[in-house]
Amino acid sequence: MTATKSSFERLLAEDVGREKRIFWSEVGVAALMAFALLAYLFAS
Amino acid sequence: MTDVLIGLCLFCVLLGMVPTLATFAQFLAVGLHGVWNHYPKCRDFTPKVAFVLPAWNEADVLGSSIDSLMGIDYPAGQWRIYVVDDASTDHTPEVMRQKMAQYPGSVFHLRREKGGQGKAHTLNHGIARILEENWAEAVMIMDADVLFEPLTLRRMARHLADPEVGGVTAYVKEGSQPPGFLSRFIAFEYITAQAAARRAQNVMGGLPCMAGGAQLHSRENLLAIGGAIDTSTLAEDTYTTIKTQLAGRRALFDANAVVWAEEPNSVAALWKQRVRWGRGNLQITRAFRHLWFRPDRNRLFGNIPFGFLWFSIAFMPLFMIVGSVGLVGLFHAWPPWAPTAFTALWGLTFASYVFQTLFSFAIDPATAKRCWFEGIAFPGLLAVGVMMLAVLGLKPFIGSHAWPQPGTWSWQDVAVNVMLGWSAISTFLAWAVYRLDKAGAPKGLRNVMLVLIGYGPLLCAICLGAMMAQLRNADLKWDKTIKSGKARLPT
Repeated sequence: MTATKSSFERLLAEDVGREKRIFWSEVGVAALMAFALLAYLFAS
Repeated sequence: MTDVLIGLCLFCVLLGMVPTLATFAQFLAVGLHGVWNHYPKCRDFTPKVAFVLPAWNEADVLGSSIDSLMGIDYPAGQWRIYVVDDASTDHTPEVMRQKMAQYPGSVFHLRREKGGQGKAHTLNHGIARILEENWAEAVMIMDADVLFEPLTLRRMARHLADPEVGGVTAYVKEGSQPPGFLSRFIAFEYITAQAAARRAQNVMGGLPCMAGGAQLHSRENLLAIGGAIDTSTLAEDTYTTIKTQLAGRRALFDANAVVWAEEPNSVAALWKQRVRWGRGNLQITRAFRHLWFRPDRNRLFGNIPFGFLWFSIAFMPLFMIVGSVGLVGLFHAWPPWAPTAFTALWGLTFASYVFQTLFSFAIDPATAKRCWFEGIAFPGLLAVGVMMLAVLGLKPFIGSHAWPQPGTWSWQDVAVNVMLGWSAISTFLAWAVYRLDKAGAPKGLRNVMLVLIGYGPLLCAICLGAMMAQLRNADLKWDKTIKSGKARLPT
């Protein structure tokens, strides 16, 4: 039987999850920009 | 002589890059908050909290603020609201009588018979009473119009379980309903200046400013900083934040703790509010002058990157103007180098703009959904055009990749000078938008000009205005921002 998470833990998990999503969003945006920069340098 | 001039121009161009580099670097640190944050040290902690609301003629907004505070999700009896009425002349006392009857034992009305000394004095009146009573374990300093989401206090208070933390601030969002055009620019600005920048500052190890709209202090911290808010500057929130950290405790930002506030919807009102903030920052720069760029005196505030960030933001218009002067000067002193310098300066600006805009959309998608256009138009559509020219070359602009000879006064020559000097020119044009708005020009005209010239240059112009006011030692008065009660909690 698993213990039910308290409202505090649920809230914390939600917020930690949001911070992780932002981290991966930054990785995504940085990758996209790096790709665009390479394409630009290649084209020019 | 020419070599010296060229060197000087190149140096100016490099200085023009400083704010962009500093803010870009800060933005790169934002994502790290996903792996380096204070959440592992949070505990289920719900101290007794006293909310202090300074109010001067806030009858239109007080009722809804108190109702939103009484509706929060927090253990019963663990919070109280103290409204410090700064000798209001409107019907604030009646509103308070009604609210005290509605929420007996939870809402208190502290009236100052002689007011007008500003927010810090008003807050201190309430803080002194709260500390004297010995009931509160934490104090929430806020503005009278700020609306709390139900879980905001829980989200902030959990950090105080760590005794190393002295203060926590929330993400203040623009909540006017319906949102005005300028409010949407402000909403986007707050993603970059709060949701993004303050996450990065958490990673860097400290905050320069906990927002005055929602500042939660532990009782111990408030006592450690003297039991009162600084009254000597116009930026009492920044001063308190820095003092907190100098006294040895951490100041944190919790981006998931959200409060909503009404922000100005006229350029004139925004100007008044931000000149106060800008002058406050200049006063802070002076007050803590012994710390900047001296790592041996303070780990955070003496830190070199932190110093660059602080000064590049506090003096941003100067850097922008100097960068423009450098580009125009280089075009006239040594034309062959101007295209490279232009591409470097504006290409960097373009990269920073694209990164910050896209990432801001990802940081707060709900806000970005309602103000995506203002996000794109933030630097001004004309500035976006200049960035495109830096990246794509001059051909789409003058029909040739070859730059015109300077001093010919052909239209190409004039256009290139305007393009090179755009950072400075847009700052002065933004000042003209303010003057037009103040003179009562139609909102449609103001909005079109703002989209073309940009909200960013407007902030630069305001910052320049604050510097001028500080230089000529203009009156230091508390210019209150008028609130009409337009802010609403999202449904």
